[in-house]
Amino acid sequence: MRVLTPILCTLFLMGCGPNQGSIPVQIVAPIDNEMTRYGLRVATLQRMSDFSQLKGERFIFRAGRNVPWSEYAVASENQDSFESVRSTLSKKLALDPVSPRFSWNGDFYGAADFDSLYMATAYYWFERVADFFQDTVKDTSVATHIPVVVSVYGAFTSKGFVKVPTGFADNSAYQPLEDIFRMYRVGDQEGVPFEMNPGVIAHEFQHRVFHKLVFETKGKEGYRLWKTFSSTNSSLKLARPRALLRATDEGMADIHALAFSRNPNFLAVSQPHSDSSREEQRNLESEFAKVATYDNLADSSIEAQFLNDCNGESLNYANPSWRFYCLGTVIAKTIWDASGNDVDVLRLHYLPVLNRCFAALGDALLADFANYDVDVFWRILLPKLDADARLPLCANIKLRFQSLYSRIPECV
Amino acid sequence: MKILIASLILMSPHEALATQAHFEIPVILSTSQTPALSTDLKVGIGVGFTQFPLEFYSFRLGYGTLVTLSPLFWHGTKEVYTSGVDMELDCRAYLAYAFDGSVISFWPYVVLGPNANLKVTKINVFDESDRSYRMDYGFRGGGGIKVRFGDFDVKIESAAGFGSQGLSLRTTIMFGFGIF
Repeated sequence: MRVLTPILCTLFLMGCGPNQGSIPVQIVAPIDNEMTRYGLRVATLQRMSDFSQLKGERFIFRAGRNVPWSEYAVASENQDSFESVRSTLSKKLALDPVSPRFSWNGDFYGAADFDSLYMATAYYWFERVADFFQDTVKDTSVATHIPVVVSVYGAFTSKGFVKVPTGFADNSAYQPLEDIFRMYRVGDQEGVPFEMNPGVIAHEFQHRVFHKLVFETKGKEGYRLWKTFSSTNSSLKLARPRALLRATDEGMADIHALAFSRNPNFLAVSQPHSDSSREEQRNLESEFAKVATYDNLADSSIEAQFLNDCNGESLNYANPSWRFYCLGTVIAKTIWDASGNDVDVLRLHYLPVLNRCFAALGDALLADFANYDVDVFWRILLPKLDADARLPLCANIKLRFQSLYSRIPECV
Repeated sequence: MKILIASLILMSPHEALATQAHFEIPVILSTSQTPALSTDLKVGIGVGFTQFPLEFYSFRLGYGTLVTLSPLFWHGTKEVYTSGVDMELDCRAYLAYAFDGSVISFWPYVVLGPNANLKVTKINVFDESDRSYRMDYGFRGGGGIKVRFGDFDVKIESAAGFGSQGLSLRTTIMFGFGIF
């Protein structure tokens, strides 16, 4: 019957399978609670308005384009708000619907090719992550309340007659200028493709939440702040606060990914045969996570092997080439250990409070971006925590941010 | 219609209807692109026949059918990937113009006809796997050129399609012996 159904449906031109509402579809999903082992499962995509184009009430999948980086720079010139940039970009970069291929077997849809399986799985996890941010993180920002486009494949390219794609595989990203998620092709990675990895999707979704609350709640001032933060052409004087804020952003993304996936090493399933110490940096139970501190990364006194994996010396975080993910791990590890390495404690006592800090962080950055350091973030967070959560966090801040500790009266 | 066909026959310089039947086993290389995102590359083997029962001057009017079997290339990672097989049935009507030479012949042509496609996809995720079966159908119309070098034939064709998968554009190269 599973073979005959699609054939009979086609021959008799019957409407086969639902196209709106709740859609059962076969996806790639974890088969354990810690999301370390994966298999094929039937899941339900909810609130679909057009399944044949993977368009729903919260997520709209579109075919990505190869676009030169320079077009983004041009689009943001002489603009004073995110809205005006997006209006310009959407006219230039209107995306086409996707055309996934599924077959209905009478009970659920099965993907007819890898791309369709990839998209259906990603769509499902975007929905679950959005629910997580609404229900558990208690986010009330537009990040969880307005639809967002997921751009499938496509890449940034070089300028010129032959547009060479750069970084177009084995990755995933949130693109704040367009306010879209980018889903890249599978290249030579192993394991679970990145956009089928629920932790990765939660990580990217948190970037959107961070961006919306820190920058976009501040109107035009927030746009100018974001331009200063994201520009690579700006003064090197701002390299330090830029790196520290990026590290804060990445630390928040990783801690939310851990909380959603219940896995401190959520990337491992997408890097199963990796023996790269650099890839181990993001594992909050790795040797790097255990030894790295704000201070030994600032003065490069951490073991040489770890130093190399962070692209050398940070020069007190003023080195623009330094890998800020390294400090992001320290920030995430501080919160993870404060929770007692308990995902339920993390979800209940820390994440909703973190979410309430981001708008205040934006205010602090507007007041003084040039002098931003991570203690600013801790000082916003700590008063909002209850005592049971604040005390262990103070203990871990003292352990990992020793030189900043005296600046945090909420702990001292 | 009968008057038209009768007129065409009477106009033909040939005394009788010319029938050219071609039994075909081509190697097929085709790319098919649907709007946005999806580009398929198929390499397969076909079997079929083409016949040109009507000939007037150098025009050839004919029909044919072709069944193509193509593997679906492995796609994904070592642990999460798809593979499978694609079977396609094409029924086509041809209008060709024959430039027949002693060594080399060119037959530019236009083509139109329905097609049906069954795709069997195996999805593998670590230790689990499953199969999906998808049937598509539609119409294709386009044109191309067949070149014959002695007994060896190459055919290049582009056709726009419309059907259950929406719009598509397919470019096909066929080569072998005895293809029309």
